[in-house]
Amino acid sequence: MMFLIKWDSEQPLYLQIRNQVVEALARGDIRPGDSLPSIRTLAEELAINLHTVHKAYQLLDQEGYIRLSRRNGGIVRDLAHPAQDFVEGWRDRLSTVLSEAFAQGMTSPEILQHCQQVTQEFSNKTHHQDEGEGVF
Amino acid sequence: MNYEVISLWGIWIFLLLGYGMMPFLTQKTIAFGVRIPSDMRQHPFLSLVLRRYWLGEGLAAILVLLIVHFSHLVRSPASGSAILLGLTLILLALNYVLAFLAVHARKVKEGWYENRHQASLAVPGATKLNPWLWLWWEIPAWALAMGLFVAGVLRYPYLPRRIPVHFNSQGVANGWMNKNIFVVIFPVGVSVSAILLATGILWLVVFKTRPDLDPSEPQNSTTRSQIFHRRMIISLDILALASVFTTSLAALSTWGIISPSALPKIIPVAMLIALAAIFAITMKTGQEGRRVRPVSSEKTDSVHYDDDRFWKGGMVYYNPNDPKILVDKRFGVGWTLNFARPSVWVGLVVLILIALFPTIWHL
Repeated sequence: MMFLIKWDSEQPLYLQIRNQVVEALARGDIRPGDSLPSIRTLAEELAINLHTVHKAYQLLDQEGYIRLSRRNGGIVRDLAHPAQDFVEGWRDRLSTVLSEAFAQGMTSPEILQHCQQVTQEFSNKTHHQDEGEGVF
Repeated sequence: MNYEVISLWGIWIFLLLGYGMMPFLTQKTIAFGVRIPSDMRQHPFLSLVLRRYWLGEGLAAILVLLIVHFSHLVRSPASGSAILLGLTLILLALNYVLAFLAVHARKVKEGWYENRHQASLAVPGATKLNPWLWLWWEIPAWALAMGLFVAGVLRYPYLPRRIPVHFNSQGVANGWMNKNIFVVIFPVGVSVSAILLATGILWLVVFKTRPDLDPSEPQNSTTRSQIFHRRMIISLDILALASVFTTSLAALSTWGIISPSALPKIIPVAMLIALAAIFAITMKTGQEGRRVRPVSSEKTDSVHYDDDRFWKGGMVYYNPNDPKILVDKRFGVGWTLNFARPSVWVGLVVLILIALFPTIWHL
């Protein structure tokens, strides 16, 4: 999988790595059982500190996306069914994101159109898996 | 003129050609050791610096030729080669530093990185080759070394008591030793060491280098880097084969199978052929596969992030945050070291101690 670190982004580096792994999961680029690159490999390839990658992987582990492994970096977990507390937390965050759009003056159809585009991008996941595609 | 002098001038010409071509071999995001957004390559100032760089190279070459002509330095190939190549390298390095300073100053003055989205791209595993697959390229060298061993064993019973082991530049013996098994073991050992050294470097190239990918062209730079890694390994194996070949010729002449008088002709020619092959591969590939044709027209709005602060003088890499030891050179084709890693210094001290060991031993 491809990692792109934006140096002028407001997001800290570890969060950018975490988000890219989650997005790759959502797109079906990586699947349950796949290994993420080891912490050292990713730090070396991006020329960043080992602790930054470790922090990102720890976060992914805490959130249940991967199982952190000393040897293999991280193994993607099988997330067929979201946990109840995840859905609640995610809904809260979604509420904040949508409220920002309304507060900025966007209309419901506009917001829904954007939501649809984003979900469209990620819904190809099943299609990818059927074809047996994978980035690793 | 003897063949050692011809090969010396051959190397000198390769050096000048390679140096002149270097701006076209380094990555698109590097101009004279300065990191630039790849779309700034068309800046007219860079064309001006290029013309000055070539002018400087021409003047350096003329100066060296004049010095050599008036002092007759190359009459003695050993000291002549050191002076000819050393002096040329110093002058060319100075010329490069002038170009580096000019481009760096212009980049800062005009703010080439202002309002650009700086990014780093990593595609872990994309350039990792299967080392077992690439070891196939070593088969000719291993076959030659094994052939040499067999020839040595078969020839050994027929060798005279005293064997010539050193020849002058005309191929006349001037050093002798008594017959013993080392006459066979030594050249085979040198050949095997050359191949093992190539294998060691192959391992470093496969596992320890980092592709310097350009986020503005993710697909192209990844493919180019893959091709670059493969071709560097092939070049390495050509060099190993040439070393085993020349060692074998020297051994065969010591064993009386071929005439020593042929060596001064064949060895420099063989080395020049190997050098020319590697030169051609390098020219066709460039650093990180710069010369390889693009495979995709995909472009992003990100640019390679400006890492100039980690490059002292555009040549020496010092980045304590980077865990990598081997990084792409900014000028030249190949790799350099991250001098912020303590292991690099430990390795250098060990190498210097190994090099000095014979001297220390004799004290």
